[in-house]
Amino acid sequence: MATTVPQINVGDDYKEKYGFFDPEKFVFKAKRGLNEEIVREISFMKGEPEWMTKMRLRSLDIFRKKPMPEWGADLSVIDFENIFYFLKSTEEQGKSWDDVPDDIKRTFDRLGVPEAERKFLAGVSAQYESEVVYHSLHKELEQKGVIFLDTDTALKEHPEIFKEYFGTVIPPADNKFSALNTAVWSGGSFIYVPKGVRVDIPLQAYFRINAENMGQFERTLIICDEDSFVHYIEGCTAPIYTTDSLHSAVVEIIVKKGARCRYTTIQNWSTNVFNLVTKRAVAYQDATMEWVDGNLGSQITMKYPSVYLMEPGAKGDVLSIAFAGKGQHQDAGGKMVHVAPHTTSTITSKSISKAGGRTSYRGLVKVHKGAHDVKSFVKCDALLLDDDSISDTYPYIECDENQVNIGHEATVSKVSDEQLFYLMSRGIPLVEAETMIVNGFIEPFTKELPLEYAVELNRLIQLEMEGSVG
Amino acid sequence: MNDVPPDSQKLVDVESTPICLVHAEDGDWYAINDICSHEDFSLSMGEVWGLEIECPQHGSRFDLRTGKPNALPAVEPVAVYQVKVEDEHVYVDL
Amino acid sequence: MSFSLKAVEELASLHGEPEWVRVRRRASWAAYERLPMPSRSEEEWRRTNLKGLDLAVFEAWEPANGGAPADSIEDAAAVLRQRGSEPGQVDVGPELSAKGVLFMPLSQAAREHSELVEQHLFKGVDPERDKLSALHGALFSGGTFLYVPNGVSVEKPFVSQFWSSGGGAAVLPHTLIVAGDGSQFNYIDEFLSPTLETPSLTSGSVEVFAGRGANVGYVSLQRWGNHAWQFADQKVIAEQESTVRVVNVGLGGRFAKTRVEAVLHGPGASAELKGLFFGSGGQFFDYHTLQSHVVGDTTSDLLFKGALRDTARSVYAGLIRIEKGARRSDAYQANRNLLLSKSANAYSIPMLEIMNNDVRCTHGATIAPVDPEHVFYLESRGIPRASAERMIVHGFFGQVLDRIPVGQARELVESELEARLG
Repeated sequence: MATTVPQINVGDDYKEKYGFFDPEKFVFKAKRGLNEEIVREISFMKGEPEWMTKMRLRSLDIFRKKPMPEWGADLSVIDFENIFYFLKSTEEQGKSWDDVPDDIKRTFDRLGVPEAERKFLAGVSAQYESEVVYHSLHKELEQKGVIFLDTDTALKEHPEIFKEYFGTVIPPADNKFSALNTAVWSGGSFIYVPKGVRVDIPLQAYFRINAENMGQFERTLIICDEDSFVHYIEGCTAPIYTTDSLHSAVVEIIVKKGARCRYTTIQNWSTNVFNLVTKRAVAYQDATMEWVDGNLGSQITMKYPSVYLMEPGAKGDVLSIAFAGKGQHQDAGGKMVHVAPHTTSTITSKSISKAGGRTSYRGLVKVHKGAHDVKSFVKCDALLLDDDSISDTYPYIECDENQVNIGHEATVSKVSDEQLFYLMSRGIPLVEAETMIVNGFIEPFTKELPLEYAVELNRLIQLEMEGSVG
Repeated sequence: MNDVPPDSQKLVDVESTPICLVHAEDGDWYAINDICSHEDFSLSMGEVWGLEIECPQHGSRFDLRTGKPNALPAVEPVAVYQVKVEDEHVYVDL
Repeated sequence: MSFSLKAVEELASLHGEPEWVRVRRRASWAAYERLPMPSRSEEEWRRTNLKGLDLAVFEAWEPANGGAPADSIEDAAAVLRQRGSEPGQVDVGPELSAKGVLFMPLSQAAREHSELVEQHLFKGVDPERDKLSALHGALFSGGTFLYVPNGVSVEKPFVSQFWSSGGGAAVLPHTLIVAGDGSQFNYIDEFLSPTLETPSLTSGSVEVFAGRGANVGYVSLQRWGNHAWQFADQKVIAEQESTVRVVNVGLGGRFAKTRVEAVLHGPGASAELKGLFFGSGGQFFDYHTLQSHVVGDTTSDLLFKGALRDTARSVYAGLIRIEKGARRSDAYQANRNLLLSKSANAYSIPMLEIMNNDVRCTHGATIAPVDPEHVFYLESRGIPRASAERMIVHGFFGQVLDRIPVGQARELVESELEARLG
């Protein structure tokens, strides 16, 4: 452990660190485009059970029938026929750090993974291209019965638990992109935390898109059994390519009685990626689900993490930030569906638009009949850094019960001249002063992140503010 | 009865209540209110899977025997009705 | 006669309208025939249930009949009374006439002041926005025209009272208000009918053009009977330095959908949009509001408050839209809902689209029951529960009631609320 830790210093040379091209090394590369044959091939290559093949084919059918969403961001430019739907980088899954291919290690190096590994990681499951290639799970966790696998392996090794939950939180027909994901999914994480087990260290996965026109359709399934706890961190970075990429993940989470799950995302796809993600959790009695969701990258993101509060005492939180620079549209938010009485939820959204970027908060608080004594509060703050940028707020509140307390508040503002003047009068240059104000604005989010991520996020904001990204 | 072959369903109107009448693969008949409890869509346009019917719009699945949702996004049950079969005729009891 | 092109032609003849109005009606009729019924797959109608509305059952208009209620507002500048769908009657005193004020049934104005009416009629409200707007455009029947010339101030309010006693027919009045530069006045529309067995179809669409520096108060007192389906489009166009205050009071109808839209068209323009609605039984209220800041240095302030009991339902959806160049816009939007019974429900969707950064923009929405602590406090002072609740609702509406510019109209609303809460 005495070796010097390579520092992740995003601020110095973003292009070199993030704009890299590792030589493509694919075992199998499906043809571009989407049809039954490709879907069968994907399922065959993975050696999947028949039910999964059937489900994939059915989902393809649903995907074709469903119209594109007519709201939100402009998705008309996506060319589904010009995307690779499956790649597999190496024959075998990496078992230990030594088995991990050097080029992937280099990638991790640039992302700062070794540092994290040394410091606190229990397990890393990194999705390189379309499959998870590396896993290491702390012995202790393994002994406790925690399962942390890539989703493909989980299907092989734990078919019964997999079949019980897969697609029950987000059925293929939920929306066009969940259907697409179910048809062509590959990789992602599978986590099962047994009753009463607390995983004290965050489980992490790093995702990357690394081939031109490379589609990324990971599928994550997390089951927190009664009274358990897990914190899962998903961080994305991607190199910049010239043609569009599509990232369309599905994340399903089941939080059982008394359990708590936190899911943290730092999304920093390159600004040509379409990031269309469905994330949904169900929380049972006295369970807590927390989505901590940061969206910095991508050309278009549409993502509304949701929590279905199914039994009394369930609690849901969404804490999100969005940053949209030039050419970016972050259409993000959260959904809280109160099915049971005595459930609570909060959504806190902070968004920043700059250089013509557009951020939209889109959210829903739904209170079903019989869900009395519900409390829900939504707060959205938007910061517009210049005159070309746009901010939208679309909060939907649907309440079918009267013993409830529901509130929504939103403000839209610019960086206050007084604050800027104050900082500049103390000799701080304009850009730096603005950066400080923006970092202050998103602090409620940053302080919920593990330290490394918080530092990285602040540096990314700094870069965005200097205009050196995208 | 002959209008609905096994493993299929049909929309019928019983005293102006829209009902999805299902001839399930087990040979039995089930009657479930046609309107999905999630949003206003017709279950009879969906697909029957064993003893479940799936809403075509968002994929919610309901148990034909109890009306309970087995998959999100629906969370509220849909009404189910008693069915009687007599002399090639199917009767639904509202 | 049911809705048909023949009915459109006949209505135009009946009201003795000039040719251009007839042409206008025909265009709307064509749109009505072309457009589908609004469907729940459209965002605006997703939470709005039109089941049970059968447009084929209505007569195209209602002949004047039945006894009219007593004048509700006595101390008015002038009162126009309309019974059924026929043009109303109004007596404008010599003083107002001398000032050049025009206050008359819309069809009369279309004949006598054709140019002025043509310049404004359906230039605010879009008569082809959807099938129901088009129906109003084709078959609007009666209504008011008010023109107050430049610089004229009128202290007492103008009042129009629309009374329908029939049921089974469409009563579709249209109010057109043109406020000259620097003019000042208040105007009240009162929509009234007893609750009847047969459903009726009503509108009550309004266009307000506020000239430079004008100061206009507009109040809509919607007290249709609980058999009415109401679809109304209100549009305010506020020019430079003008101030428009709109208060919507929604008390009646089984189904009442109202669009309340203000376009801030000139710098310094300001719009205050207030609303209160009280639903009981199975009533349904739907308000869609728009605060459109087209130019900068404009202000809008919206507050809609609703209280619902029994199985009443409401949908509030409002948008503040600040255009790219509209710097130094100041916009506020709030929707507060008080749920008085277990089966009442409220949907609230306050939306923002902000396209420049030099703005002040805040909005909020709440849905809550009567605070038990408030009830407890009042009860502990010997006030019975029912009275306590009435006081709380009254207090809840206070902020909006205070904005009704005419004392008598305010009292009218207060006493109706009292009666319904009693």
